[in-house]
Amino acid sequence: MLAKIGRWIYRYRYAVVVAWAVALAAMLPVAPQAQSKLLPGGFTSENFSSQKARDLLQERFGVSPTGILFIVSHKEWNPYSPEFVDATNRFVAQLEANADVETVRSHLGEPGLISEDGQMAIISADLGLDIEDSLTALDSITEDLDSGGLDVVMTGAPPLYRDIVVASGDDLRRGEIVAFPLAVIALLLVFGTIVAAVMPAAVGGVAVAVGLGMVYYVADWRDMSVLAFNIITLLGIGMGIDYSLFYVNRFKEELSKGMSVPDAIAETHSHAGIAILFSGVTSIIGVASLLLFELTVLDSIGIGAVIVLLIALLSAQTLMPAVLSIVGHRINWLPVLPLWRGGSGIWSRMAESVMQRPFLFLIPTVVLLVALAIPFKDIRPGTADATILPSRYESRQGYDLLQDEFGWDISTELTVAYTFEGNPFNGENLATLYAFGQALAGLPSVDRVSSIVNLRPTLGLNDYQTLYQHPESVYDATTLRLLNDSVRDGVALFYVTSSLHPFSPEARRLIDEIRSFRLPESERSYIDGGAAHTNDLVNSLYSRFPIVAAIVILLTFVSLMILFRSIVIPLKAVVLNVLSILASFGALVWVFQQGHLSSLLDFEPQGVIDATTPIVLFAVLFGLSMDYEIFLLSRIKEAYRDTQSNRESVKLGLQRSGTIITGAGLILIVVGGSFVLAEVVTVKSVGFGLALAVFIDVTIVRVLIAPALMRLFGKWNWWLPEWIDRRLPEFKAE
Amino acid sequence: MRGPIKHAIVTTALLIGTLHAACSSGVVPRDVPTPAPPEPTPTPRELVLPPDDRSHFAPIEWWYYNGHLKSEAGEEYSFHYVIFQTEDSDTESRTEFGQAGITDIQKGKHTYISSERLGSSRSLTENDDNSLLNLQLGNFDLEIAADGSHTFSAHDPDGTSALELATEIPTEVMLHDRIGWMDWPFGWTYYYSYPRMQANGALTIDDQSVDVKGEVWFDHQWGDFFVVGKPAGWQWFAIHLDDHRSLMIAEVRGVEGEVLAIDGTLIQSGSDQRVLDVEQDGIELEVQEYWTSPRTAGEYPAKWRLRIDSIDLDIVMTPAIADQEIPALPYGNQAAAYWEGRVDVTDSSSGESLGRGFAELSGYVEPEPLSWREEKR
Repeated sequence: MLAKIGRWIYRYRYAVVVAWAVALAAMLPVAPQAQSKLLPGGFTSENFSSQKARDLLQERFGVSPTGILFIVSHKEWNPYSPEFVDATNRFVAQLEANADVETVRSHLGEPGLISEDGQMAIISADLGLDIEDSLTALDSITEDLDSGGLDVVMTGAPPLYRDIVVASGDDLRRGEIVAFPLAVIALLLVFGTIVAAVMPAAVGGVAVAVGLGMVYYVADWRDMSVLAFNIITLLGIGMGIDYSLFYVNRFKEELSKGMSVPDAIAETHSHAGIAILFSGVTSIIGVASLLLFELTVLDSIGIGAVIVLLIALLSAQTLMPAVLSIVGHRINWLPVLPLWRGGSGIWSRMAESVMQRPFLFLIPTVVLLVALAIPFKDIRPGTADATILPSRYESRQGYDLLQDEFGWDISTELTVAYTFEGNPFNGENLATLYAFGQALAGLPSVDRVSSIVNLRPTLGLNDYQTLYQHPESVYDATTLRLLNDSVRDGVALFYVTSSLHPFSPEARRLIDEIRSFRLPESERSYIDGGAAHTNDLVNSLYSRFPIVAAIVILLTFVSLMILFRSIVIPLKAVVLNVLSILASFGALVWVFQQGHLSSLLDFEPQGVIDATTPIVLFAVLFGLSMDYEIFLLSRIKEAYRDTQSNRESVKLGLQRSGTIITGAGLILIVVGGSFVLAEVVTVKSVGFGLALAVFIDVTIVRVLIAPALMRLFGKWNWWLPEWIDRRLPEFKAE
Repeated sequence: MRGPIKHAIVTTALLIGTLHAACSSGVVPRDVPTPAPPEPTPTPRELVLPPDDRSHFAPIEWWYYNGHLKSEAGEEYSFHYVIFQTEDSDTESRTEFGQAGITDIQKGKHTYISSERLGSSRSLTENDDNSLLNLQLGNFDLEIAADGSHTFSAHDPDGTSALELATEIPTEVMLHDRIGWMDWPFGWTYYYSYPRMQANGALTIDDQSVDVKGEVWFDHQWGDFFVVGKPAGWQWFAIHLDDHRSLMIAEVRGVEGEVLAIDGTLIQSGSDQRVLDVEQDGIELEVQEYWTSPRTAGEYPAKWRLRIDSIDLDIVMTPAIADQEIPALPYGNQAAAYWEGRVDVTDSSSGESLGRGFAELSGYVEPEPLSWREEKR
């Protein structure tokens, strides 16, 4: 059937190219604008308990979800000098005039906003916007502010978040600039001719342009996170090139056998086409798994990646054969390098060596991969803090000033909202609140609890019941503030402070401990704060991750079983895939969490791995690594069909696919490796994980472990019980 | 369903279940524990003076002065001056602010000065070589030297009123409730006074400056307690009797306005201090008149009869002028306004002048409802 499609495409090659040209023309104007329609953020969900807490705080207490901090100073004026005070008042007035700003506080009303040396002050603007909207509004709030001669450093969640997005984008663009020429060199090394080398890049580029154009329209009807943009682009280019590379290589191979162009197209389509189809399907299964997480950022990557991969797959199945039909023998034009095809049987000799002593290669390599994977058991998924941002960014400088000059600690600060029925000051409710407050204060990792019933350790329930007979009569400023700001009919807030890093697993454990308190039927507790959000994020991701991974593995296994008509081959493929991904995850933990090689790679270890990184890497890598496995095994299967010899088929399969897989892998290693130069630690770690996983896959797994296992399994490689075979759909190449 | 497939599904489900369990938090639900008894009140220590004149960085602390001054021309003035230091337990930051009042007896005028800004821990330098305390709040400065002498000043920002005084080293110490420590509602406090310190300096009223000297009463109080307003509060008196006796009397009310205690401390020149007890010493404090503030509508006691049988004292105290109310700070509870002023002390029978004093009346202004309850209304 695929051969027929190949011939059909040859016949209508110009129409196919024109159809793609029309699609490209339609999408090209909007594709570059896709990024502008994507929204910042996407790391929270309305189902998160922390989000419910935030909504409750906003609704009942008018608590602003976000705020901007302006650190102001002057070389000559001190914060209480008349000039400074005047400039501060004018600055505050400008902020207050902005509709998005709810409250503005300065050192003139709160002396705690002065730096420890008394030379700097903080002006804080609370915004009535969530983090996503605050990023959109940030420019309009800050761009025309007249500082009145004060030096201003802006920080806070919105500026930090925006700078992280900007820095990540810059990193990715820089990475692409470094990677692109290297990728072209890799393509030239593989094909040796400019025409052949340009072809995969061009077809991959068309797929990405059309795919991004579609993302532009998708963003009209559902929220898409801007953080997905670069990963979608990267994946589209990577997979587009992969498929095209494999296709072009096979086409050249068929031509070299003396076939006519239409025959070569038909033959290529029937073999490479089906391998690409299954490879695409497994990749799509992998990235589609991201849709199973209830998080906009992952949904966005999932939807965008599925679209781009579908387009890449479609272009490899239609545009590439059409273009090759037109180009024909001119594919070998403009030679620039002698053809490097792995020497005269270098891959074959390698396979032979491995298969002669399979255990000699298998045991050390598996031990190596297991050793690499071991640190993964200690993974601490969390959320990175502002230190992932390079210090040249203003918001990071402000973040450092808050710690260095104002003595702000990086600590876990939680707001626990406790809901109940009725008046908070009646004896019964006070008793409940007091018990809960004492329980919070009694948790080992809690340093301080502040609430209307945690004023002093020397006060008991009776004291509070007496004190709050007339709560409005309390003069003490802290207590009065708590009475006004932290309690309403039916809800009371407990401010919990712990010295734990807010994004650490220990802080997440604290959240779990607080949530583990069994409350009466009509009462609930909700926790707001960075640690609570991280806890929700990690729990949401990692409670589903095993199930999602199992589904991906199972579907991939079935797909490969259909393609290869075997149980052992798919099983081996998924096990090796999982092993290579685990090895790269282990290395990721060893380097980025535990901080090994941090000076070499130039980053500040975070002590955690960003929670979304392993999920995204798994989704991307599972399909990507499977590409190489499918490309290799499809050639082995072909050779096995021709020779019926297990060892010979492995040698031939490796020989025929070795160079092309190495080339494709090399491109991705270069792309991933270029991101290791990134400034933002998260981008660096994604690049590192990607490059390492691909490296492991194209070297250790494919060249050493796969041949060794194929040799050991022998005839069982292609065993499939007849009753299963009957039930599986069949894709015949011819 | 065929056996092998069923087996595979069951195995997969078990595997998934195991993985899922491994990834869950593993925290077991538990009941909210019964609260432990509150921590006991700390055992008081012996005060060491003057070193304890310094800041103790307690949840609440104040340095308070009142005095009766005379110019060389014989004009009489009274004043009070106080710096409060409070701790914000949420932010662990401390805030200082100052208030002062000057009463011109001749003109019957009361002038109020407030600190321009809130201070913070950065306003305070302590325990350097020369001073026990050095507080600078812009227009309010207070220094207590290592030798125990005090210097304090307050300047109205517009320059029309000012107070600048320096005291000599105190010669008398009043340790209230015997050791200078007392149980208070919702907490405890250290509390001592230097009832008679000789002072001199200058006052400025309506741009007119005058040199003055006289006697100053100093109170220093710090601890962990709550100041609660109406109907709770207190009436406090610091009395300089002409026979050189110094007397402190305080009546403290509870949250329902009930009188919790009436305490007193007396120092008679040349003898030890004496603690006065309401029962044993037969203390009676009777309010005879009230004055209503036009600003806060607070209804303050405005004339008292005080009898202390054990020391054969029966006096009437009358404010030198009616309006000596001190407003609350703009931020904070507006009901925290208080009356702080000079009272003239006379014999209850003969009307003969026996001395002068200061009264402090707290908890007489109706508080505003909490902001969210006000919105609800």
